[in-house]
Amino acid sequence: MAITFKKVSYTYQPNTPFEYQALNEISTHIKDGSFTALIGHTGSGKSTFLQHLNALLKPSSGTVLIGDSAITRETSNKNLKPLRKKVGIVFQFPEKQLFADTVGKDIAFGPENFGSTPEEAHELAKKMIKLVGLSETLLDRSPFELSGGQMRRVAIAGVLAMQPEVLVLDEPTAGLDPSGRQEIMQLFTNLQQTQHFTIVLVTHQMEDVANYANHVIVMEHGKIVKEGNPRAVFANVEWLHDKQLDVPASTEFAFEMQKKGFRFDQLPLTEQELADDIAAMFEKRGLANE
Amino acid sequence: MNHIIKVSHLTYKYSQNDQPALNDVSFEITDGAWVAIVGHNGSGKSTLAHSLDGLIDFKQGTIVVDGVELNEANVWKVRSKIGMIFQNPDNQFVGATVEDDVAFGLENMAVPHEEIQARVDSALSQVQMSAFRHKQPEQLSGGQKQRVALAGVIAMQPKIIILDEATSMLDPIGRREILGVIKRLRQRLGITVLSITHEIDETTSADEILVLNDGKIVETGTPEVIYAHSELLLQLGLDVPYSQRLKTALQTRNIHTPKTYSDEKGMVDWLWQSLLKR
Repeated sequence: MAITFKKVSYTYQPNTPFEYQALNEISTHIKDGSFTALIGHTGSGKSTFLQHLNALLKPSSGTVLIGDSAITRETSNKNLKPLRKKVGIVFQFPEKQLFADTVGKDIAFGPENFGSTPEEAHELAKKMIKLVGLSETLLDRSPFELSGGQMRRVAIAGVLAMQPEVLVLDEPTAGLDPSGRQEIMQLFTNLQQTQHFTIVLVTHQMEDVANYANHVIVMEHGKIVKEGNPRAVFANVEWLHDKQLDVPASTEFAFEMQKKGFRFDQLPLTEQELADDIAAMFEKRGLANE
Repeated sequence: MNHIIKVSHLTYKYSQNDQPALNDVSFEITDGAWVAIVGHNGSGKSTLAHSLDGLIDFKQGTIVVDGVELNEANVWKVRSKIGMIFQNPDNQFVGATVEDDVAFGLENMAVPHEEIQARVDSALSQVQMSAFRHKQPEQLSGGQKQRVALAGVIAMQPKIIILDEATSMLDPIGRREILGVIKRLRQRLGITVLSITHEIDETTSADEILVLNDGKIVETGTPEVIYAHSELLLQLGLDVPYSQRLKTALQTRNIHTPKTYSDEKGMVDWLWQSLLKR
């Protein structure tokens, strides 16, 4: 499902001394089936943007199109419930929101609230726990006996059980160790590719942006300051440094090589690309020596 | 050399039937050193940190901190020598404002009012948070909250600071802030630092790295030595520093790379030597 922002602005506590404009005339299009990464500093407006994706916030002005439904300031709250089912948000440290006495009940809670029968919800829980790579035998355990990484998967299964079409992920790997991080990111890529999810990822991990996203939105002071595929966005390293944003380690390394006089047709994004480029340089030099 | 921490044959089980979380662990830490303990989640590293501060009642093995053996009678004496910073910035903010938070520990120790003022001032300036002294926690970023936690610890004048995954919930800017502050504190105050982490990038400033797996120390050495063993790190579910990953990628492309570890700058220099220098 696609989501479109048309000149969306959002102001917190308008007409009070605490008035604060968090989004300033944002326009963008998140394509159906895409993997979009949202990057920017704390305070850049990312969280406010994210909450517009399933109408947790309604724009102060402008329109958000979620699928076919237009959300404006005037939209009645009554009509929002079906939309929230279509866009699932996994908030930061989602395991903090686990509450039920068994994993199964926790996952089934959302669907039951949205009108599934207990049997249907239980079937969904069984399906979703497998989808996030955990064993069905965990369904009867307390979520609080699980490891941190397992708890996070259960929380994600709870969002998936709502059967959304768009999955919004706010720093989903924060606090996990390297192998846990990789597993979770792999899970999302699989969901995007096999279940045709549209994914929006908020992250500080530029390696993940380079490896998984096909569209990148850079935010600063409530505006979109750059947008495009990862290669286009990471092409200007100095501009990103200037904004105090990181670039993928391979891009940074190649940038340092450039300063020493090496030439790249385009800056690499991953270590495999960089290694290929360097190998080509060795080959060229070898041939020149013969 | 003076050992400020001495751990001998420490073994701990959370319950009778479990695998031991710590299995016959022994090591020594030199006064003033920065030692990093790395391991994946569940390797036993937090259990180790908690044992050192007397938060876990272990039955087997001994821990001696600054000449004092840790036992029921001495636990408060040992704790007064150690300041701990935990993972979650929100869970360790107890004051209504930044300065109240930093003063909290001192007030509990019944330190005279004037001295509290002076120590709070000094601690806040060490972590560069003086300008924020009247702010409330919700007005601070995660990195700033962790710096306040660090100020609270410094105000108690510990000999040792233990960082238990203290940066893992922070964004990259917050993480750099904390690591920068720790480096400066070490230079100025000569505090011993024990950092527990799964982020290999955070161990570059350490004098020594202990690698923990399944409750055992499987490797000890300087960062250069540990980083060069990238197969071991990968096998244990840990990250390998970027320059080492690139080196491995080059080796699979039949390029001969230097045997010893070098950081990114060193690698760029080596490439320049090999490819561009006439």
